Parts: sequence; C-alpha cells; structure tokens
Amino acid sequence: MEQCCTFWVNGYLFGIDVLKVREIVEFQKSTPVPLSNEIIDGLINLRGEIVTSLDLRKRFPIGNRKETQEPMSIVVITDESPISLIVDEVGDVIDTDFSRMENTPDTLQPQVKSLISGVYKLDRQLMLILDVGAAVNLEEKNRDSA
Amino acid sequence: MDADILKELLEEFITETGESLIKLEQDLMSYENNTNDTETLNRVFRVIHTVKGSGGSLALSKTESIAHEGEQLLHLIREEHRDVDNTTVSLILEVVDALNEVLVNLQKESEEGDVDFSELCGRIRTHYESLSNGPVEENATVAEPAELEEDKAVFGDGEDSEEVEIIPPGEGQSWGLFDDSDEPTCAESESKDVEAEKKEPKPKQADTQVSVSKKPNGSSPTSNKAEVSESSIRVEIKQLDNLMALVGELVLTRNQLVQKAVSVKDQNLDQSVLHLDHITSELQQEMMKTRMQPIGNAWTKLPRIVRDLAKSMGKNIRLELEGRDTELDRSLIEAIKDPLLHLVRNSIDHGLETPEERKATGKDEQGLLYISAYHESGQVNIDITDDGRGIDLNKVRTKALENEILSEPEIERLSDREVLNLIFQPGFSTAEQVSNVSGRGVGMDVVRSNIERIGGSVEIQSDLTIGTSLKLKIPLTLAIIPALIVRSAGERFAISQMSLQELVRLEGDEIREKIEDLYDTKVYRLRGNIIPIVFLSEVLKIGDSIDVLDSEAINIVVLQSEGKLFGLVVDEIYDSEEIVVKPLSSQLGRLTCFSGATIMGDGQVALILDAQGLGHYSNAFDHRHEDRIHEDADDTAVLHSDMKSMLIFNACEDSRMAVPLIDVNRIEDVPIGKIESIRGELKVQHRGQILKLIHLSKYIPGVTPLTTEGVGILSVIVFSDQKRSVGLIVKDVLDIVNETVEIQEPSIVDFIEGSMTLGGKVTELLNADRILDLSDPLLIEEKLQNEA
Repeated sequence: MEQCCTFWVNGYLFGIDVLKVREIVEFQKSTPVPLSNEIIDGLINLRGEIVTSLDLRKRFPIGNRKETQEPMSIVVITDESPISLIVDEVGDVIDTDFSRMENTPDTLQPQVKSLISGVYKLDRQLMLILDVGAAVNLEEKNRDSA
Repeated sequence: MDADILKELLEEFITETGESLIKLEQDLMSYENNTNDTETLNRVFRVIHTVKGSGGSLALSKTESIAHEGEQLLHLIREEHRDVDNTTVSLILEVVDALNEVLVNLQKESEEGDVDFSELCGRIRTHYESLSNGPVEENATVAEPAELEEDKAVFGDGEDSEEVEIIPPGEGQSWGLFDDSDEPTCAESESKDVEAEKKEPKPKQADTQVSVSKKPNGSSPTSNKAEVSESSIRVEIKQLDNLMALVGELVLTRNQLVQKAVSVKDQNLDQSVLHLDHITSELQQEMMKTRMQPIGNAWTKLPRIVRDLAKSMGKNIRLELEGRDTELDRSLIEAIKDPLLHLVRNSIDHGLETPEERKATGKDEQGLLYISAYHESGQVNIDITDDGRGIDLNKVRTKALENEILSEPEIERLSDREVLNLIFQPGFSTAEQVSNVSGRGVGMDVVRSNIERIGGSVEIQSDLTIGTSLKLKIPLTLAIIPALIVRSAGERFAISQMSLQELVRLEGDEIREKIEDLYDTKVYRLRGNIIPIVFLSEVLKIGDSIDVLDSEAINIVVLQSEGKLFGLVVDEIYDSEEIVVKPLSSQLGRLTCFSGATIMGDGQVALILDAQGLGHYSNAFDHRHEDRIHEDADDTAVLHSDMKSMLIFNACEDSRMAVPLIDVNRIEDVPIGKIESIRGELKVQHRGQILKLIHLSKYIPGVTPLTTEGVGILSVIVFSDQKRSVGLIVKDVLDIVNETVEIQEPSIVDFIEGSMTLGGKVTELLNADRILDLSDPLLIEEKLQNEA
C-alpha cells in the first residue's frame, strides 16, 4: 500500500508519491531568474539551501492563478537537487494502491498527459498521478527557448 | 638534561607509543589469523623493540623491562619460525596492556607509577622457556649487549636508571621516537588531542588499573574503522566537503544574525553576536585550511619536465621555484596543474633562447625560468617569468592578420598592450614551427579560459630584452568568495571581486560628456580608453529600459573578462560581502550570465553574475566580437551542426523577423530629422556616404507602414557587401539568439525564405541577399520586369 500526497492545480486533483515529497512549505516570494524559462518561478531559500521553484500551472500550462489565491510549495526529491513545485492547494495524504492505477485517458489535454504517469480512481473523483521526473525535466523546454 | 625537553620528549613518547600500540594490536590480530605473514610479525617486533629502546633512553625502567620480555618472546617466534600459539598472543597482548597502563600513568604524573609487572614477566619467562625448551638466553636478542645489561639491572630495581644515557633527538636512529612519525608539527598538534582524550576520563585512584588499560583499547583494535596512522588521521575529502558546506551555512546564518542584531539594539546581544562573528570567521578559516595544500604539489613534476624539455631542445635552463608552501584549496591545485604546465612549456619553447642565441645577445648562456607563488590580498599569485626573448609585438600583429583574427585597420588601432593580449585569442600561435612541445594554436586561450573558470585571471607582460612574465591570480577557494552586491531593477546581484576592476559614478553633465554612442553601442571613456558599456537591466531583460543620457547619475561597475574591460551599468552599488557560492540547478538551463546563487544576509537569494558571460553581451554588436559569436557558434557546432546567430527584429507591429547576424553589417539609431526624402526614396548621410533606407511595407504585402509620429529615432539594420549597402528600417531590434535554423514552413512571399520558431516564437526568415538587391533600383526594376 502506497501513500499519496494530494494537491490541486486549476481544479484538477493530483497525487504524488509521498516518498518523493521532502516537505511542504508555504509559498514564499522567490528571487526571479532573468532569461530563464517562464516555468521557473525563481529561487527560494529553504533553510540555507537554494531551491529552484517551478510553477506547475505554467508547467502544464493551464491558466493563471487568481491573484487572491495563496499557493503552496511542495518540495520534491529529484535525482539532482530538490525542486519546489508551486501548486494551488495541498490536500491530505491518502492511502493508495498503485497496482490499481489506470492508464491516462486519451481525452486528457496532451500537455497535461505528458506529465501524468497514471490515473487513480477515488470514491468521488479521479486523481492524476504526477510524474515527478517528467515535471522537473525542463531540458527540452530550455532548448526551445534558449 | 633540561626538564622542558625531557617533558616534551616524554609527551612525544606517550603519543607515539600509544599509537603504535594500537597498530601493534591490529597487526597481532591479523598475524594470528594469517600465520604465514612474516612482515606483520616483523612490524610487531619492531614496535616492541622501539618502545623498549625509547623507554630505555627516557629512563622508563618498567616500560623497558616489560617491553624487553615481550621482545624476547617475539624474537624467539621470529627467529625459529614457530607458529604463534594462543598463549603467546595473549601474553603479548598483556604486555601491550601493561604498557598502556604505564602510558596513562606517565600522562597523569609524568611517572610510570607503582605498578608491578614482575608477575607478568615471570609468566612470559616461563612461557619462553617452555617454547625454547631451555633457560632464557638473554643474549639471544637483537638488542645491544650493553643495553641488556642495563635491562638486567633495572629489572630488579625499578627506580635505578640514572645510568641511562640520553641522546639528543635527531642524532641517531636508535632514538626510536621519530622512526615512523610524519612531520613533527603534526605530531605535536596531534599529541595535544591525544592528551586531551586521555585526560578526559580521570578515573579515581582505586580503579585506575582497570580503566587505564581500557582507555587506549577504546580505539578498538578489532574494528577497522579507526584508521590510525602515526600522527595524523585520514579524513575522507567528502567529509571535509560536508564540513565545509556546514561552515558555509554557518557563515550565512551569522550574516543574517548580524543584520538582525543591528535592528534589535541590545548591547548584550551585540556582544554575543560579535563574538559569534569572530568565532565563525575563525572557524571558516581553519576549515578552509584543512582543504589547503601547498602549491608545491602542483609543480612536483616541473623540474623533471623542464630538464627533459630543455635537453630535447638544446637549451640550458635553470628552474627556480619559490613559495612552494603557499597554500590553496586542493580543487584549485588540480585546476591549475595543466595551465601551469602549458605556460612552462611555452616559456621553454618560445621564450627562452638557445645558449648560442643568448650568448650573441650578451645574456648568460643559462636561461632562467622563475616561478614564484605568494599570497596577496586574499588570493594567490603565481608568477611565471623567463628572461628570454620576449614577445615580438610585430610578429603578433602579423600572425593575427595571417590567422584572420583581426583586420589590418583593427590591428592598427590596438595599443601595444592589446596586441600582446591577442595571444590569448583562440587559434593564435606565434611559433614559426609547430613543435611537439607547444604551438599547436590551442594554447593561451585555453589557459586563460581554464583560469577564468575558477575565478582567476591571467596577465602578461613582455619585453624584448627582459623577457616574459605571466601572472596568474587564483582565488584561495571556490566555496566562499568576496563579492560586490549591486542592484538593478529592484533585484540584487553579486559580482565576484576577482573580475571587478573599479567602480565609476557619473553625475549630471558628466554622463553626457563621458558616455558616447559609438554607432550601435554605448561606450565610456575611461582615462582615454574606450570601453563598451552594457546595461544590466537590458542584458537580463528586467525592468524598464532607461535612456542613460537622461538619468541624473549612473553607476558603472568596470569588469574584466578575457582581457577586455567593459562597464556594467547598475542602479545601485552596495557593500562588498563574503558570499557562499551555490550552483544553479539544471532546470534553469544554460544561463551564461550567472555563475551561481547565494543567500544574502536577509535570507533572500541573490544571483551571482558571471563576468565572462556578461562580457559576451557587451561584445554582441562589436564587429570584432561578432566573429567571436560565430566562433562560439562553431564551438557548439560539434553538438548542433546548424546553430546560427540570428538577429531578431520587428519589421512592423506584428511582424517578427530574423536575419543571420553574419549578414548584418551594423545596427544604427537614426534620428528622424536626419532622414531625407528624394523622390519617395529615403536616404541618410553616413560617414560621408549616402545610405539608402528601405522599409519592408513597400515590398512585402501585409507589412504595415511604420508610423513615424512621435518617434524620434528609427532603428536601422545595415546590410552591406563589397559594393552595396542598404539600411532596413525596423520597428525594433529584439534579440540575438544562437539557435538551430531550420525552415519549418517555406514562404511564397518574395524576400521571405520561410518561417520557423526562433526564441520560442514564430519568426520569418528574411533573405538578406534580396534586401541588398534593393540598394540598386535599376536591378530591382530589371528583376521585376523579368518576373513579369
């Protein structure tokens, strides 16, 4: 039995393997990095560690956040340095059984689909499982805009 | 005997013996498990023998006697190649315990204490006899007979040791104390540690015997973890790196605390913070020292290389090295090894002459290559000086022409110093003959970029009579650097002091006097030298662009990169601060303008600007450096064979276009008042010539004419070839990108080759040749007729 940390981005419920989550912190204003990809929100100081912050809304991309909305940061563990993912809202940690995960439906927007490793059925709604590795890999995006 | 010296010797004896006993135990264990290894047994024997000798010379009779018994036993086993049995090992271990006991007593009271080992000695003798099947033959030991007699004497009477002669240290090997030790200084510092450790438990008198023998064993001879060498311990570099990182964090936290304390205004707090400040700085320095290595490590091979090279080239060269103890971070030592080697080879190959040549010019036949390293203002300088023929500037000029690094008029404009610096250009080599030593043309530019990569710089001085001198300036460490903090468009940035040359502030009219528009780029006159200036906010595309000529005051940070100066205009200049460099994550892509990030005193993150990267921006519109951009493009060509530098502009409101930068002669801002209209054709006078201006609205359907209302200045991209030139009026010039140019959608429109994505947006590629055709109205008419 696995556990998932859930969060919302633009009304979608997402899940992320809890073992990939290092911590959840309140959104903090970051230092912008000029000339970088617009997905990059900036750099934040996480207790002395400099962490790059990505805006998941821009990562997909799915619309802008309302200005009144106070986002949250999920700091995920990657192969390299930890990365902060900015989401709209963070939900509960729920028990999931990844073996019951289903393939991503083709109807999903392609840009969202490429970052989803599968779909998990909850009682009342679907949870999209975020592919953390794909989400933090901006290599192609960087090449496009270099 | 001087009491102080005796005490010092005693302490050394305690430290060394303590360490050797731990090793002895380990060896003994391994010997027991692997009986054939005579080398191990020899080591064990040597340790005991050394202890005996040292103990004797320090008048430690009990030590000497018990060690003597152990030695006898070991000797028997060694000489007669006996299999070591359990009892023997146990007895030797007991000897070790006894010696440790004595050591603790010595540590505490500088005396052996009133412990009695006669029982143990007796058992060892009994065992010895049972092994050798005969009475103990004391003379069978390797020890000198004289010593043995003494042994006998002291054996009965523990205190009688006056006759033992003490030889001053360093006079003989028999001393034993220094047999295996490394540097005495290390031993000293280490002995203090051991001392502290041993003092720690302070057992009560009653249970001394039990606890004392345990303490040295606490370093657990059976566990392999404790890698004890004679006088220093080995620590993994990774662990030092971790410690270094932690100290870095501490420095940051200290900075934050210092800033906060200022606002609190509490005297007690201030004092504590001040104290913390000092301690942290000291800790940082000490920590850095642990990673420091003498620079001598980087040039250990030089004497041999110099000798071999000189010989193979028939030169007579004397190498002088000075300051080999100058220390710098070990990662930097690695980084400078190759550049240093290259410079030495250069000196020998190009700089220093053959003895005949030298004689002819009245020099000493033997050439001198002098390398010295020294600390100066927080960095390490390495001078590589030769008294050779120097660098002939005329040859450099000719070579630069031959290799098409510069054109003739460009070379004429250069100062001697600038000419000299040409040798750092890629593809430059003055060697008339390519030798197998140097002169392959991949020399000095690589040296310089390698040195600049680690935050250092290279300076060169040369004189035809005196010789050539190169100065490498290397930072002490890479992790923590002094940096200048500046602000631009509300964001703070750090700039390494290493690339910083000077700060200039211009106010009022000064700005208009000293800042000039040179064709397409702004320049500043710095004491007669013209240096290009770039606006940080423009380069980084942050904030609103300001017209510098209208501002009240501007701050210019003069930076040096690749031997050239350029000015960086920022909004504000703050203090200099020690910053901890942290790398940027891969998600940020390749941003050449930044070399990393750091955390400021207030906890915010600031980016660290990279002078080299910014320098390239300052060159962007300069012809000389256009080549450089192309070269850079060529460099990456290995990876992306069709990368090109493209100039992106807006022809009108909604028409994003691009031309290859190589086709662009220059970009000019033309005041609208200067444009004259002759029969519907726009012209502008430029450098005494008439330049025809065109706008694409006339030739390409869908391009809307520009509104000139309210616009004072027009941007003009000038295209030229040998005969023709034409200026293209554009709405604005957007960017220069290095990208793969591949037309995704061919165009049917004249002048447009097709469209593709450049800089993330759909961009139309303009045919520059066709634009040039427009310079000649006859030609275009002709063409139109043909097409009709």
